[in-house]
Amino acid sequence: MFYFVTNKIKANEILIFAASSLSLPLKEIAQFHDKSFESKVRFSFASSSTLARQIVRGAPAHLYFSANRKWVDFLLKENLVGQSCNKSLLSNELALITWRNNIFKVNDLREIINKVISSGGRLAVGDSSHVPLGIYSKQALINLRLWTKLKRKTAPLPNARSVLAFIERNEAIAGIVYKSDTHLNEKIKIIYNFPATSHKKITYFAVPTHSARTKEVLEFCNTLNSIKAKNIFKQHGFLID
Amino acid sequence: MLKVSIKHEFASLSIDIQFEAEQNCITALFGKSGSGKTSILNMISGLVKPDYGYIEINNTIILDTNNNIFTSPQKRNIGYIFQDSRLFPHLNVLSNLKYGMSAVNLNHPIIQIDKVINTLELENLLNRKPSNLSGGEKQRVAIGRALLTCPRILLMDEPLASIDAQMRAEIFPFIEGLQNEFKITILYVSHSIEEVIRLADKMLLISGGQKQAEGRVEDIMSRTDLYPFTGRFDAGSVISATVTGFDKHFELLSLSFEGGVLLVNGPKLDDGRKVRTHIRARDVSLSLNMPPKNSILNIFKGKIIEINSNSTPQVDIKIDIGIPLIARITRKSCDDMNLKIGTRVFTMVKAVAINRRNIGA
Amino acid sequence: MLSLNNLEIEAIELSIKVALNSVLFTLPLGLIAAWILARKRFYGYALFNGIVHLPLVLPPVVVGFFLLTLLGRNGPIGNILKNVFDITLVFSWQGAAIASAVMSFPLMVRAIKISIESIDLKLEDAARTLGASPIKIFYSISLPLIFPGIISGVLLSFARSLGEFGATITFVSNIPGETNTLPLSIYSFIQTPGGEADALRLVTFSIIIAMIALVSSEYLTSKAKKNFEG
Repeated sequence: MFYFVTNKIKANEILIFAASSLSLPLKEIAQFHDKSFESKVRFSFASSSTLARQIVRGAPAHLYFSANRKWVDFLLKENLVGQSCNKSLLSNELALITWRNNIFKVNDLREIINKVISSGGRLAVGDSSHVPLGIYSKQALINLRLWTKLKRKTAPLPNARSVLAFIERNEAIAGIVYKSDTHLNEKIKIIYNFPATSHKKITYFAVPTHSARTKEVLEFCNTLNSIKAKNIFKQHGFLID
Repeated sequence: MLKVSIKHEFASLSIDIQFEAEQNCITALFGKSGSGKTSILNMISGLVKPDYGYIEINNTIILDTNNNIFTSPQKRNIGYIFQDSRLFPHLNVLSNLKYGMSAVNLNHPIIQIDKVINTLELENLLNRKPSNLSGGEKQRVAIGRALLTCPRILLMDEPLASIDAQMRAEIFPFIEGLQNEFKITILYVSHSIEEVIRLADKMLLISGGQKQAEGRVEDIMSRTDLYPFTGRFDAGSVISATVTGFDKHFELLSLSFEGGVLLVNGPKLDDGRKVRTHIRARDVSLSLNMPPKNSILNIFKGKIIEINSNSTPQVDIKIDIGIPLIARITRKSCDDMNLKIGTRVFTMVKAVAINRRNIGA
Repeated sequence: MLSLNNLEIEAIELSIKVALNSVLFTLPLGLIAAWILARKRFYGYALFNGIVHLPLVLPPVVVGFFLLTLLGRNGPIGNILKNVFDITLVFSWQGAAIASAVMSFPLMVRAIKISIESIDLKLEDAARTLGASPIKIFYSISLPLIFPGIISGVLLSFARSLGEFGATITFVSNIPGETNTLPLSIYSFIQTPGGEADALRLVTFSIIIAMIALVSSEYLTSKAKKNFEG
């Protein structure tokens, strides 16, 4: 992957490694950023862990944008990145979703979970051993005292796309994804919004790497902090203040 | 009795042939490479289906294209010995031999495995795998394997072609022995006139996919008009004779035939034994007068009945010495001696090739 | 440092179980497909050939999604499996075996097909003249001769199944005790900072298992080939 990237990064381009959940809003933001500035933005969307490991191995990214606290801290400790540059807090929430034709009493979490268990089905979640979505989902379920019941009934998946795939086909009777992932998806519906207090805040950090192009990175950070960008994030289901 | 009538268009050859082969005889299909002999065998065995055909074995119809009758090869009970033996490489000799035994046709006499192993001298080879056998040994196993299916007829496609001369000499007795031991009808394909003379009772001359002549081996060989097919170099007479004596001191066999007695160097054979001899035309000289004392043992008086001149410097002359004998001399000598049909001459036979074959039916 | 905890032993046992079952699926079907491709020509041959080789060229994740759509409880075939036979493949090790089977199918077919193509047809002709029916020819001549190819196909299939990741994780997820095969476990470790040592342990065991499979297949193949000599 690296040699494709190094061959194609031009002089005034910056490469941003970002979590997959940010792909839709970031692409829109980049579009209007490129119009106003000379510097162009390129992205590599993947799981936070994959991207972080690539940076450790010397990938030529200029910015790392993820909600995975563990990896951000790791990169900071290794002195590979600086402090985050997005001034306002960009965060996300968790939503419990199901296939659009399933009948559930909306917002009564306990009853929903009981129905999941009694139906013999499984709860599609991110893999809590390493997927941020999974880690946050597990925190929420623990805090709501449902984890012990559900521990053996989950289907741990590698990313939100897989969780959505299972829910869209009604293979798993319910699943937990980021609220931003439910945006514009008509095959699924939200049946419960996890309170923000049930898990550690899902906050996104845009941390610049110690590379050149500080001018261009700064330009993009400014764009990120603009009102237009904030609106785009809001439209896609993120929380921003 | 085998009755065959087939027509088939291959890419490079048209086959159109009808013939019959008698029971318990060895019938040879003789012709040059590419004349269609192997294809004919393939069609008799059922491996190839001819465009038009009728084949009957012992009153059972196995092919009749007019009436949509086609018996599959595995049901025809026809043994086939291939030029390349085709032994199964993953089975040892004994397993190869036994391979077709469950398909025994009960209408035919059961051929015993012990007898086959004995006759073909396979006792010491039974545990070996085909990759450890010589060419000759492979063919013997192939013959045994085919025999043990108790076939109605045995097809042999130039079985000795890929075997060196010395080994060929060793195997001849085995094939001859098949006739004696198992009383089986054999169709033998070959492009070697030697093999045909040695083994066959009847022969068919095949050329261009068609039958050019058919008849007893002795008769076909004495026809000078067939030399283009039988091959000029080996052309000559084939004579059946009977052993009447053996001179121990000089190691000479006396062979009696319709024209007299042939004296031939050879191993002792029992009196009364019938053999077939091959006298090549190039080994026969002519003289108008009785030659004075000379080294040639076999001299016969006769009358010229045919003179065959062609575009070569040599002439083939057929002399009746009781039976036809063919001599090949130069055209010059023929002119000098003023030879004509009816001229009385003395024929001097320099060499006689014999075999130990028993002439059957 | 090569001692394993329970979870890791579970992953190894599961991987072997899934790989063995996957081979069980691919062997008979692969043999049939290889025979058809080697011996028959028919209208639609190219299409059939393409479908057989599809898992070789498609990204494993795509195959995983395809299996999900087809064999999930609400998929056209999965529906029948669930309602008629009460079989659910999603979230089960049998599903993992099917994912591995699909991904390794082309390898099994290719290995056997090459073997079939190298059979001297003249041997089959000879067998026919010895009275053998097509079935007898198959089990007494063809099968022994293609045996080395079958061994090769089984090894390739087994090794591919041991390493199968993308289709598996997409189709059956990573359920501890059911579907957390070695590749999925290794992936989980790698995705965690500081998990390299654990990942390395499992990688070592994967290599050991694969080497055992490789060595025994070489041994079996040469033994089968020796059958043609001596």
